[in-house]
Amino acid sequence: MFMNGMLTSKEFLEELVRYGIDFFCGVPDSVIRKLIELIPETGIPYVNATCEDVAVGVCVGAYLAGKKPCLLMQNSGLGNASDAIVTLNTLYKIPLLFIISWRGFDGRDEVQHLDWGKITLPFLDTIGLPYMLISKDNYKENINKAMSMINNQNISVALVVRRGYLDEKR
Amino acid sequence: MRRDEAIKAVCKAVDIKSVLIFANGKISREGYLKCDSKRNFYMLASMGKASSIGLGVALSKPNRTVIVFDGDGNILMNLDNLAMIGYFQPRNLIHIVLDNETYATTGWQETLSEKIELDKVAKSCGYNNVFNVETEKEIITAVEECYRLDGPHFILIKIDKEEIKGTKIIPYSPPEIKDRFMESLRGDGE
Repeated sequence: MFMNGMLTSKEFLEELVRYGIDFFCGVPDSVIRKLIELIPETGIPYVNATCEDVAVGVCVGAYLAGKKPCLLMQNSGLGNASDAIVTLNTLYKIPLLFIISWRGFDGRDEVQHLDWGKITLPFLDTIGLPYMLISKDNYKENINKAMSMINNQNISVALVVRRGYLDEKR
Repeated sequence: MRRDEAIKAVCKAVDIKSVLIFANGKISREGYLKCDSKRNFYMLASMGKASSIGLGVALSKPNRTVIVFDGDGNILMNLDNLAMIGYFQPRNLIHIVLDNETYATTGWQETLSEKIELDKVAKSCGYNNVFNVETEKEIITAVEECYRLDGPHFILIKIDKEEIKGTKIIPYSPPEIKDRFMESLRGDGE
């Protein structure tokens, strides 16, 4: 599974910042907990959102004001976020970078995550949000590709993070 | 006072550097009718998210005043926005709720707002200044007061259950609405 070991949250975050991400907002999940905990060290604010749909709205506002926002959330948050994704990001061509933890990936998780685990990728296809599965081997290439779609084509992209592919503990 | 008259009264008091976000439905359409400008962002859908967008803009451009025109149905759909705004304290955000206690755009069905004191909810969420106004003069005075004080501000305007006839669909495409709004926010530093 891991050719070069696990991606660290620190390298992942540094690469995002290198590509100009300057606004973070989201709702936490344990898979991305360390990533979120490290954000203050970059000097970039993290806006702690009440719900994923509000987080989409806040990131859209930041984008309109010239920021390059990144929205972090668990896959189950796609249910809450989907109307805003379809009617703001898609309708207005307002591109955001999403980082989505894929709980229930491969049927290996607590029972409450398994149903969302199964439908996560088809759901992303249905709402028209392109995604890339992130690993230590491909994260640089995929962030580059995602930011190019965002910057050049106004298309939002989701970087999907599976449990076990990103270090979670401090 | 009708909704369009309340919007017009607010626009009279708004300074030239402010940007305006209009919630979906009749609020956007009447905003277009009464005070169209490239600094207006017209929401066409995404009900409940006008003040989320306003918060994102306000935090990212602290030197520009952000006016959000919301409805009672809109704000009740995402009351958590009030908690977000109260928590993050954008001093440059003026949140206006045009309250007719109905979902007017979809046919005047009742909302819950008749029994919910939205101004008190905003106050307890941490908005610094909360106004409850009805006349044109009161609206203008409240907006002028907001420019003098640190926000976040909340202006509740109870409006009539009748409205102007013949509002049109906004003629700009969604990407055009985005582009001209972004253009109006560009080049003014942080």
